[in-house]
Amino acid sequence: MGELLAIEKGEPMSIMRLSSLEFLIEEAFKNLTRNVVISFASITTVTLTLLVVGVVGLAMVNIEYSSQHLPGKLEVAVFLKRNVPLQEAIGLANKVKSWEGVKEVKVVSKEEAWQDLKKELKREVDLSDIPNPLPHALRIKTVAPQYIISVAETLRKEQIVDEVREGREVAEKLQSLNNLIKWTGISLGLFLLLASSLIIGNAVRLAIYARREEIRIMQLVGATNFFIMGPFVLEGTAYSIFGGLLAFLILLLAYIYIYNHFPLSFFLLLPYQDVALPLFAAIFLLALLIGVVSSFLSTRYFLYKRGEEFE
Amino acid sequence: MIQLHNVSFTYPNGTEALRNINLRIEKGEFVFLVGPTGTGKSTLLKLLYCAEYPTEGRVIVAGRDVSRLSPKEVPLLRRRLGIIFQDFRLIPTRTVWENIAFALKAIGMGRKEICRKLPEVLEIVGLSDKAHAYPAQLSGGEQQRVAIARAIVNNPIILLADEPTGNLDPETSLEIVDLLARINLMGTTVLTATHDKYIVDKMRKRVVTLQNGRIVSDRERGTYEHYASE
Repeated sequence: MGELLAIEKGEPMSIMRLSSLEFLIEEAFKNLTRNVVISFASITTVTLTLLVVGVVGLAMVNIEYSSQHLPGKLEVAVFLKRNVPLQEAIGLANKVKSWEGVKEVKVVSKEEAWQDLKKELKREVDLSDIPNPLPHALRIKTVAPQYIISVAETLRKEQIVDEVREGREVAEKLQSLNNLIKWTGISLGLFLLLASSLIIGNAVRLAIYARREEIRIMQLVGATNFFIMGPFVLEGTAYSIFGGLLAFLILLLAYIYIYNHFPLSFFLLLPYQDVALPLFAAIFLLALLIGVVSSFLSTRYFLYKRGEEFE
Repeated sequence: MIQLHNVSFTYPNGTEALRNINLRIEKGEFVFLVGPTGTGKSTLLKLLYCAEYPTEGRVIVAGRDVSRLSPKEVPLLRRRLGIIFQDFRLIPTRTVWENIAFALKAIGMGRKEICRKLPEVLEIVGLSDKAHAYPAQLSGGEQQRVAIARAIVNNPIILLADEPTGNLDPETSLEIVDLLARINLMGTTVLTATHDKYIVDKMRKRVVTLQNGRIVSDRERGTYEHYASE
């Protein structure tokens, strides 16, 4: 009795020892380099998955960013004061045309506007007897959304301007685009996460199968499950993290390239310096999650499935 | 050291491998467990190292009831046992040294301790000059010596041998059993399951005979005897 108990007391210490860690890493590394094809397949799948997830995520945060920082969108409607004559409206239009970023200015006279409104409301109300209550107006388009704010603000300072309205159209478009990307992104992302988890799990299972003799021996000499399965969990996690790092690098380089070379007309991109760290953290955590969960499940599956190990 | 009290074991498929076994082996004994193939010898050993649990009865190893040992404690029990098999169970891609070191690393032993223990154990089994050979470069007898070295390197209190000479010629078999006897003299209790009449008769140790899952004879300085089936 004494002999067995004495050993048990000393036991938990050995798990903490440096040599234990050394063993786990050494064995995991042996697996990694053993089957290049499987390693490559696992890493590639994770990379693809996280690329898709990353693209969707980046698109979403940028759309969000755009819609928050571009309240005016592409078109500005300017309503002049009631008593301002058309001549002055045209004068203002010509002035605005010379401003930076302005693409097109259209003068909408109060008569035109009244006709349009009457046409629109013809079915519901008869407006023929009522005097025209509308002011003259301008519709201004800018070359890029960034200019909307400055144009609108400058116009508000004009004496003859009564009201400046920034269109809601683009905001709505961005919103629906956001929804589209969000839902296709989430479903595609989930699907790919599942696929890559399965592939990593499978790689781990193959590694376990290839080393079943060694596992049998470890069980025989009294290695704990932590020791037997640790290297495999480490292996799966390593695949996943390599894949994640690869995806991060590709995404970041592509983002920087797009940021520098393609200023999108209706889109404001977050500076890549602000994107890099959160992107890295998100991808790294996701990769870690895929790796640990899938390889852990695979090894559990193996531990519970066997039982005839000594046959 | 080892006690079995009214132990029965039935496999899930209904095969009754052991029936009401009572056996007591003292510290330092050398015991042969003999009987025809399929008579429950291996099953009895499995109960001792907790690869199976008895259907009925109690199994006591080193003062500890292992009949229902929790999965967490099983590895700790096995560290106190040495186990060898007919097929050696060596890793073909590792050298003799690495095979033995692997077993020690797997239970968390440090490099220094391993480097201290290995030469000693290689000396005992007579393979000091073969440390860097691969299993395929060794004879069957030498491979079994490596397996024995691996089994005893952690100073087990009991050595279990399941048909250790099944793949070896009579000459080599005797050498292996001699080695087991020497290990026994160093204080390790040895229990060898075998149907090898030659080695049993040569050694004249305690012989426990199993037949159809029952103990039919238990003799000091015994020989391999055949008993009629039921």
